Amino acid sequence: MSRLSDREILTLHTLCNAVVDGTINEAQKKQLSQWLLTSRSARQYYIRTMGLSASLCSYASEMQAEAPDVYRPRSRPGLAAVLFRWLTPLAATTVIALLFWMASLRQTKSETPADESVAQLTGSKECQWAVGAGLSPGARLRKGEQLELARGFAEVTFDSGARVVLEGPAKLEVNSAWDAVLNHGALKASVPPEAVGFSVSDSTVNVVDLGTEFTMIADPNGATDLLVLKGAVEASPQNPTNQQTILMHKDQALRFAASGITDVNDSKEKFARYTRTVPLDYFTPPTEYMHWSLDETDGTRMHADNLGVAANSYDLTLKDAGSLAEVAAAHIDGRWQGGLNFNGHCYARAAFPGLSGNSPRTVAFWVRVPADAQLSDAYAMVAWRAQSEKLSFRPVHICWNRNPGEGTVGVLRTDYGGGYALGTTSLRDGQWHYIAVAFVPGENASTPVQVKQYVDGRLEGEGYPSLPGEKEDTTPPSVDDPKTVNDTLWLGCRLGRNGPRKNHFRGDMDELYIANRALEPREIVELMKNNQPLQPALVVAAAR
Amino acid sequence: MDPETQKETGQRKQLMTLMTRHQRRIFCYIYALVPDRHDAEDLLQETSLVICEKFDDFEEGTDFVAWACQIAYWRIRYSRQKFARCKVVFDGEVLDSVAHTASEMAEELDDRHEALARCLKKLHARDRELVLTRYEPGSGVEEAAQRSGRSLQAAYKALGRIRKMLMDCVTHQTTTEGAP
Repeated sequence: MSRLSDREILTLHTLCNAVVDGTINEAQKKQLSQWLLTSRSARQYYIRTMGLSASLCSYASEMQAEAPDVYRPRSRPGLAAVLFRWLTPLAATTVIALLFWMASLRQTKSETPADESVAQLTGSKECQWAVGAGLSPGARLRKGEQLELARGFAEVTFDSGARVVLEGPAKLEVNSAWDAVLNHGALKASVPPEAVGFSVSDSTVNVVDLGTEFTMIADPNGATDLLVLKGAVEASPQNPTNQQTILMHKDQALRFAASGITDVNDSKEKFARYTRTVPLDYFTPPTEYMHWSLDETDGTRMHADNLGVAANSYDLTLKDAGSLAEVAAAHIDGRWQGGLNFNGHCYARAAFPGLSGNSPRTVAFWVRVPADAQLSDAYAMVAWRAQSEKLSFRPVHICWNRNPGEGTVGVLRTDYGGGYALGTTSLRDGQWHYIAVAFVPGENASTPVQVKQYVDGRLEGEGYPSLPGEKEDTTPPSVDDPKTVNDTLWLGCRLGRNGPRKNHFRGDMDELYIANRALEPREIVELMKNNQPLQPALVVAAAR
Repeated sequence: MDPETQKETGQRKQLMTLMTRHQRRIFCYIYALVPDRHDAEDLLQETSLVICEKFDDFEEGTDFVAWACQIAYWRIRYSRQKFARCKVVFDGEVLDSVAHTASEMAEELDDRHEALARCLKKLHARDRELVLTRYEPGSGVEEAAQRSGRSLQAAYKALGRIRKMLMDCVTHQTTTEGAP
C-alpha cells in the first residue's frame, strides 16, 4: 500500500467533492472507481471524506434544531420522547423510531418494562402485607408493582420526590416515578415543588398535584373522597359525561362517584384525622459522604472531608492548570463560597478506592456551563473508570449532551456501561444548576444498572440499562503507571483507556459530594438547599 | 411478568439501546457506499427494519455495528437499481472494496466525528455558516450560495476549500491527540 502524494490527494479531494455535491461526470467516476479498486489509501481517504460529510449532516441538523431556543416545559421523558428528540436531526429516521416503537409495542404484552425501579419503601408502622412475606424495609419498587397492605401504614417515596403514605387495608399500583393508581383504601400524598405534576388516579378521579398535600380515600362503593390538606390540586373526574378538570384548594373536599360530584359529608372529621402526623419507622441506612468544598483560594490541592472530618487521601489535585497565575485564576467565587473553574485545558483527579466497582452511589455538585460552551467543551464534569461487568468496563462520564443524534444538545447526560441517561433542561445558560446522579446497581447479577438524574432537585431522565458483556477492555492498567485510571475520580476531562483524553470540560463546579448509596430525592434537595447531608434524625423530622 | 415477556422486553431494550448508540456509525457506512443524503437515509430506514426483524439472529456480545453494516451492505446490493439515480453507484467490485475498508474504519470515523466539532469551531464564521447551511436538512449548495450571497460556482469552490481545511484539521487533531 503506497501513501498518496500531495498531488494525488488534491485530485482525489476534487473527485470526492464532485461525489458529495453530485457533480461527478462519467470520466471522473471511472477515474475514481479505478483508484478505489486499486489503492487502499485512496479508499481510506474517500471514506474519511464521506464520513466528514455524514458528520456535517449531523452537526448541521443540530444547529437547525437548536435555532428556535424556546422554553420547554419540564416533563418526564419516556423512551418514546427521548427517541423523538434523538431522531429530530434526521427527518427520515423518525420513521425508523416509529417503526421500532410500534413494532416493539406489538412484540410485548406489557407496555412498560417492569424491571425498572421507580420508587422505594421508605417507612412503615405496624404494617402487614396482604400477600406473601411482604416487602423488606428500603426495598426498591418496580414499575407496575402492586402493594397490598392489610393493615398499618407504609410510606412509598417515588423517585420524583413525591411521598405517599398508604393506610391499610389499601392497594396501590406503582406506575412510574410520576404516577400511581389507588385501587382501594386511603393514602396521603406529600408532593414537594420538585415533584409537581405527580398524579394519583382511581376509577373515579385523576388527581394531579400542584405542590401540596392531599388525601384520597377510595371506598368499597366505588366513590372517592378527595381532601386537599395544603396547596392545590387539579382533579379530573373519570366520568364520561363530565370530565371537566376542577382546581381544588386547601381545606376543600369533594366526593367523586359514577353518579357525579358531591360534598363530603364528614369532611371535618376526615380533615382532622388525615392532618394528624403518623409517626413512622424510617429505613435510612448509615451513609458515607465524601465531600470537596472546592473553597481553596489558591494552589493545586483541594481538600476532601467526610462529614467534616478531613480525608486527606481523597484530596483532589489540579492538573495542567498552567502558570501560578492561571492556577490562581482557576479558584473562583462558587455557589457556596469558593468554586473551581475548568478552562477547557485543566482537570483534577483524586484517588478514590472502590470507585471503579459497581456499588450504589450518588454524585452531586453545582455546575455552571457558559452559554457559549462549544460541543468540544462537554466532556466531562465528573468521570471515573468502571471495572465492573455490569458497567461493561467502560468509563462513566457525567457531562452535557453534545450528540444531536441522541438527544437535545446541552442537557445533562450520564454515559455508563454503553448506555446513557439524558435530561431535559439545557445546562448551557451561564447559570448555576444542581446536578445529582444516583446509580442503582440492581438487585442481582442480571438486573441492569439504573441511573437517575436530578437537575435542580427534579428527576430528569432515567438511563437506558447498560448492556451486558460489551467489554471495552478488561485488562487493568498497571498500578505502577502514573496514569492509572481505576479507582480514581476525575473532574473536567474525558477518560480514555490510559487517562484523560484531549476533550476537556469548560465551566465552573462547586461543592462535590459522593454518597455511598442512591440518595432519596429529599436528601438530594437538602444537599442542594443547605449544602449538607440530611442526617437520619432529620430525615424522620422532614418526613413528618 | 412471565419469562417470555421478560425476554422480549430485554431484547427490545437491547435493540433500542444498540440502535440509539450506533445509528450514526451505520449511517456513515451507508453514506460511504451511497453518497446521497436522502438515499442513505432511506437505506438506513430499510436496514433498521431488517435489523428489527432479524434481531433474534444477533449474537449477544458480538460486534453489533459489523452485523448491522452487513445487513446494510446487502440492502445496498439489493437496492442498486433503485438507487441508480444517485450519480455515484459503483459497480459491485468497487462497492465490495469500499465496503470492506469502511467496515474496518468505524472507530476511526467516530474519533473524526468528535474532532470535527473542534475544527468547526476554528473555522471563520462565514465559512462555518456556508458549510452548515449546505448540510442542513432540505438544503443544498444552491441554498447555501443564495444565503451567503455567492454565485453557485463560487459556493462550490468555497465548499471544496472548506472541506479540505476541515479534513486536514480533523486529521491533525486525531493523529496528534494520542489518546484512544
